[in-house]
Amino acid sequence: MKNLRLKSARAALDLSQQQLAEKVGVSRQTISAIEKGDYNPTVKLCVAICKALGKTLDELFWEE
Amino acid sequence: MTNNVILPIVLAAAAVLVVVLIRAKKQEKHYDERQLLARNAAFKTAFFTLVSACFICGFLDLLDIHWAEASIQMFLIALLAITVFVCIAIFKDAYFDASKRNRYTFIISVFTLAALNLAVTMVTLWQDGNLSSQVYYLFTSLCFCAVGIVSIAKTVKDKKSEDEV
Repeated sequence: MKNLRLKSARAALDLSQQQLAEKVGVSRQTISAIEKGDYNPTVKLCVAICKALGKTLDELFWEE
Repeated sequence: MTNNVILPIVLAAAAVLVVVLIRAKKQEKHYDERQLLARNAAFKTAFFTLVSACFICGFLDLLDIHWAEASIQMFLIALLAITVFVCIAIFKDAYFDASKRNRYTFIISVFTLAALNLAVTMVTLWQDGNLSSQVYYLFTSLCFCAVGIVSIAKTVKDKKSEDEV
């Protein structure tokens, strides 16, 4: 399932996938795969992404 | 296998090992969790390709179909497994991926090597109804082509993905 909330949060901070990837310490393709729903990140990576975007786990990764 | 063949192979393997170790120390590249998982999946696929190819060759041997000498079959199977691993690793961005600025150089180099190997193989391919050792060059050429095609596909995929951002 696509993660549109992650994409919106990233866009709200005017960050490209590459910039977010560098902040989090992963490759651009990993961020792309997470946003497309092709990859389920570990909790550790989810937390790192949340910290980089200033959001909570629920806001970005909880399934509604 | 004569000493004339063993020594060059050992020297080539040693040279590759030295280059890999030096580059590994210089780059200290960190692969993220998705890349490590993708690399493991590539290893698994390559392993099962290797085992399946061995079974097929063994089965053909049981049916008395000798398409090449045992040593040629062995090297071709190993080359096939390595190529499968490299192609999957490149496509999933798990390993062996040239950096962005070197990608086009990498693709051109790969296709050049493929063409060179193909040129060498044009000499003689079949000897006494069996594949000669020239088949190494043909197969190497095909493997390089596969790597090149996968690299191009990955480049196109990455460009599309970047444009969507």
